[in-house]
Amino acid sequence: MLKALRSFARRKSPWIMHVPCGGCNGCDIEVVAALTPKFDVERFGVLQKGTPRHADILIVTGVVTAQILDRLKRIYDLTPNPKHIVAFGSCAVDGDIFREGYGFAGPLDEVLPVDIYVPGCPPRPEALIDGLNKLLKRLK
Amino acid sequence: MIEVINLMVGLLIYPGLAFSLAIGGVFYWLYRKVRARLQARIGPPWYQYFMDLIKLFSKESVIPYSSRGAAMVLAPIFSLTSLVLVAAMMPVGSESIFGFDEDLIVTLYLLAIPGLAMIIAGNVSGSPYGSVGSSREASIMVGYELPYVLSALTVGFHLRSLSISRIVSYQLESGAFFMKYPLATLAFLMCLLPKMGRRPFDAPEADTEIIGGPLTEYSGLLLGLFEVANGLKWFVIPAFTVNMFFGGAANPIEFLAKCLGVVLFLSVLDIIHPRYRIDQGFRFFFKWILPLALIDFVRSLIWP
Repeated sequence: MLKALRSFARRKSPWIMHVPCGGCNGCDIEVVAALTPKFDVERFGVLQKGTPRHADILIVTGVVTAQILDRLKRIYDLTPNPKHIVAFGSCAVDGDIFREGYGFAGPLDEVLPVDIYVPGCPPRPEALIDGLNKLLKRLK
Repeated sequence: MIEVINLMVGLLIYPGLAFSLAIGGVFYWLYRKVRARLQARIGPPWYQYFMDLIKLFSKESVIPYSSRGAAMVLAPIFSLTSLVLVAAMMPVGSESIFGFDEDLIVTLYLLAIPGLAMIIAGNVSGSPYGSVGSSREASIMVGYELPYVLSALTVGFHLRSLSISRIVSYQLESGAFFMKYPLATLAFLMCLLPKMGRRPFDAPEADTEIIGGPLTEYSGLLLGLFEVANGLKWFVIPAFTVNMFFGGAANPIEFLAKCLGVVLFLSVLDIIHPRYRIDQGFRFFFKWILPLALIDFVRSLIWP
């Protein structure tokens, strides 16, 4: 009973934090677009938070570069458990065209445990909502 | 024994923690829903606030290495305790359970504690954003506390009484105070906005500039306690306003309807305004709101 309530609450109140790594800003604009009145993710209880301490879901966009690597790991450690990661955009999923660049520090899933992939360059806001929805259905 | 049970029921169930939290959570949801509708969105479902609470309570609470220990845990408890005490003293309908003769003064003091707890929280959490947030909170408190207390004492001086129950029963007989003291009412309502951390005076918690303000380093249970305090504020502060200026009410239903009116008024003010810088907010209170409060305060002294 209590467990069911807890998992229901976790599904109904995912607070996200947007972590831009070394992207071109295209994905960042699409993430922010999902928060605007047109797409309105607040109807699913999603709130954007500026600090990893308040967040449940980290939305990582862009290539994981050598420079951001340590900071990304640190942000992940600052987030309280249970936490989830969304890899948003082709760069975060596998590196895309930056795969052979000198600053590339591995695709996101080799650095941190990724829960869901949202491919696209950039993905549309609907894709983010769909990805969040699929992630939330898996939560317990 | 009976007294102890009465005391616990009063503090924890009606009109204390559980009742106030239920009503306050619904009022907070209403604020979010009205904001969503005015922005042509759909908005969260009615249970959103309670789900946020349960989720926060079920998460890990991190106490950062750079924080100063016990005060970080005590700050939300201070905030919560003072609000629960006020909720228990507040007359819902016409009678109050724990009201006594000087409860107006005690209420004013206890309602200053949540702001103080925010200052403590920001300072001890060891985050630069927290320090900025608490210094802003401290400056805006200097601005709003004086007109707030003056306009509340206007009513007390009119009746020569500091009992909220007495104020409510007087208003039930001879009309609400907002007819007699409109300027004090206006000043009081304006002071509620920074007290509840709402725009245009939400600079202390401005999440677009200073992340989470004083709450930046809080997580899990401790953040949840602050959320509980926030929900209680959405009931306790409108209830105090209704009792002081809008005539109280003969029964709880009418009382909640009047609280709803105050909540909607504050919500609309919050939604249609951008955020003031801290010095602009401070100047607004000293230049416009304090004179308004003073005019009615002096009126209540010389021409009651």
